[in-house]
Amino acid sequence: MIRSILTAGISLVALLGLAACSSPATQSSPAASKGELNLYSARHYDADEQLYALFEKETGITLNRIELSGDQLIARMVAEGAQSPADVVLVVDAGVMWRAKEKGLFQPLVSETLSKAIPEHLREPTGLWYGFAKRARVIAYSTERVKPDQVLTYASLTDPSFKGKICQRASSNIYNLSLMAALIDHIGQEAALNWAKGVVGNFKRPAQGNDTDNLKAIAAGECDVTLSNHYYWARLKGSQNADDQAVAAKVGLSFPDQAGVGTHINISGGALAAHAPNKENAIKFLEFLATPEAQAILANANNEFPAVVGTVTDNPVLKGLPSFKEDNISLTLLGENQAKAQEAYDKAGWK
Amino acid sequence: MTGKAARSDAYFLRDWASGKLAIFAFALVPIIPVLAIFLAAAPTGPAWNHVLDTLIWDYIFGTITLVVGGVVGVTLIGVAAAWLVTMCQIPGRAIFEWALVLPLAVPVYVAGYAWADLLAIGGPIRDLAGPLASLLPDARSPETAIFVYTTILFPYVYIASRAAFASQSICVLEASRVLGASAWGAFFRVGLPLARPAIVAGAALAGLEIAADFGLADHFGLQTLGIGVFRAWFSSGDLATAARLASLLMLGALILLAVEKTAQADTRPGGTSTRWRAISRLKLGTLEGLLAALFCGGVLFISFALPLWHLFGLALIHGFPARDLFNPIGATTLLAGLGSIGALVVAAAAAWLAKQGQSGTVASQVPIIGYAAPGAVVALGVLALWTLPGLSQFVGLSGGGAILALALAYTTRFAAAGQGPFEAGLSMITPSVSRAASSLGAGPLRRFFQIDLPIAAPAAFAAALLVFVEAMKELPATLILRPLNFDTLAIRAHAYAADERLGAAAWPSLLIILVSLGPVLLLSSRLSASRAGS
Repeated sequence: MIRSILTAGISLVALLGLAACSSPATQSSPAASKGELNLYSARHYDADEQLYALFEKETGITLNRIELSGDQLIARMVAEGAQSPADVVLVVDAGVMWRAKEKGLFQPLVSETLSKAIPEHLREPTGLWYGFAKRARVIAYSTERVKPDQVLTYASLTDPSFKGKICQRASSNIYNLSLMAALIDHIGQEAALNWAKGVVGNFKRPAQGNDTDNLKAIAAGECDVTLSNHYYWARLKGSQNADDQAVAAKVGLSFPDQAGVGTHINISGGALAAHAPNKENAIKFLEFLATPEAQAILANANNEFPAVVGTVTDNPVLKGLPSFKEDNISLTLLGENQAKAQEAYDKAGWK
Repeated sequence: MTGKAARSDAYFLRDWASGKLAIFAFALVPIIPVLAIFLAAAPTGPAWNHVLDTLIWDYIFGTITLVVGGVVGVTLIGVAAAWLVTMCQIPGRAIFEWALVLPLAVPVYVAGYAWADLLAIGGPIRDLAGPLASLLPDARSPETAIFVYTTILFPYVYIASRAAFASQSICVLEASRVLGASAWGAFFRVGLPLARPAIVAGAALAGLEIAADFGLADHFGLQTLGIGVFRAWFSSGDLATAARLASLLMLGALILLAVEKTAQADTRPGGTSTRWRAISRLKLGTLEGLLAALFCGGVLFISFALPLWHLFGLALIHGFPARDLFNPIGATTLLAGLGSIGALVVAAAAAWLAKQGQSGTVASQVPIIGYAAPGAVVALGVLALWTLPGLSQFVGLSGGGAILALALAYTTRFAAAGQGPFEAGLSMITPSVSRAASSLGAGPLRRFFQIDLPIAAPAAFAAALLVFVEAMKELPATLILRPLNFDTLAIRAHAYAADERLGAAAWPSLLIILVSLGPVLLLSSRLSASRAGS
């Protein structure tokens, strides 16, 4: 009995201690009078906090935020309808942007600042959304078993020499969907389907895991080649964990199609919510994201490439990557071709 | 009408007028979101035909595989561990007895993060296994999921069957030995059948947890009904189809509950003797004893020490995440606290009604329905309520409205977890106490507050801790319903893990376990002390 009372007491003290350490949702801002901004974000990178802190410091606006995966974010805003408190929506991947746009969750923002700063192919023509950072979908290969000139194009993944050597994640993943959507635009539905069939024919195992798993599988000798977003490799490379660094050392990155249309890229982007209650602050925040300071932080947060041309970053991992020609396809097409992309994957048997 | 009946009618009316109605209403709260689900499932959604054509059997088969595999696993491990610890002299018995409860402090999805990494290609276990690595299941496969469910949820069966074994009259077992049964015979032919209702109850709870799981199934990318609810809702934006899948899942859970109730109804307490004496534990040979200890130690190592150790290592290498964890700690405490209060009120109401008999008995079964509903399902039900035309204008899903929604979801899910300890506490109030109070003129409400409640207070405290721990680990409902600036520890862990950053996910994960350990140990010590006759 005494023991149980003692345990109960200790747990209670622990709970109260934890509760006392912090009071949520009451982050007092020195200049709360400047109003608030409600941010719905599908990004969840620790360094984004620096971005928010900088914005709060510069403007005195209090940032409230909630982080959800892209699809959850959309479902939640749909459920909230006109009552939605969302002002700014941050989403990764143009395909998700398109889904949100289709649901009418955004309103157009005509901003000279943003139109000037952000290259045309990285934003929606009517100002429904803007891209603020870029990620490339690259071919990652074993530096021990694959020569760089074997993986110069996405098409090379269908080469019979890679039979049983490719690891890949599921096709329903938005990164793969967007890549296929671009491919369909470039080479047509039929050829894109054949490409998918060729890649599936070279699979070591049914599609599984995530990009990081597949990078590790290459390092472990399980397979030779995979498609990955470049920042997953960059994260391993810049990791404190020696095992991660060892993985990055055994894996090379190829930015494909340099002789052709260029490497497939995608964006982390922002948009003005359709029913934004704090519209002015929202515009301030979106324009803030295109400033050099914000661009540098964005690039460091997740090892992405800044969208604004000429941004200076001191990210050593990014500096170590080659400059590359990117596919300038209008990213709005990635959403429009999304259903066709899934259909092609399904037909090709890419789970 | 006789005078007596008229008088009893008058009492009845006065009872109702004096608050029984309110208690009734409280006990019925958990049914609301569940009913809302069935209502929301009525219209056909655009994605339903697609789900019906291509996915539904994968979902159903996937869920059943996990539940059946998991239930078999937890039953084997839980019963074996309970029998060895309760009935046999094995080295380290006193430690194993309480330590085997520890996995309950680990959320299933956290164990899933650890094992997916441990079993990954290039991971430590495959390296260690060498040429045997090809025999291991894939890191994120249903087989691994069943393994993880087994390692984390076996304590449900362990606790239930340990209590059952310990409460069996030893005389019955000894009589069986005198009559010529071997030690194994005594176990299989007497001990096991007598403990069957408790074992079934524990296994059913584990089964419900598996059916309700979102976090691990999501991390492993498995096809289950729970995942289907999320996918239909989020990827297709089709609430009606999500609600249909949720209803299907709910029906399955109710069937599981019915099976459990049937098993309970079979209990024949008259079968055992009421004579008590201390358990004289079976002496095992040196080798047998060592093997038994090795089994218990192995279970503890695999289910608790190894995944925790791995996460701890990852956390250390990664270093403290750049984002502060104090806000999530506060949000977790506040939300789980609010949810616990709601759940306790409902649990107390239901426990009290159960004691009243008649109409109360039915109402007292309502919380278990809420407990059987997976978090995503409850969240869907609450959201269906919140978006009802008319209501949405008043509460909304921001700020206070969202906190209220989440509190309702937690109340619905976890009231039943508090009801058990409450009922146990109230059962200590014998009818004679009640009658004595009644003859002194105390009405039912006064009896509740002045007699029942004080006697049941320690049990209520245990109930509060249990509910709090459950609410703290909750993931899917929190994910969907939380307001701005309210990341809980579970949310943070999930976000990091989903973003392929296990080292960062390890920090909030370990914090959840740390806070859960106290209540779980308390629960364990209460159970150890509860054997009659000791």
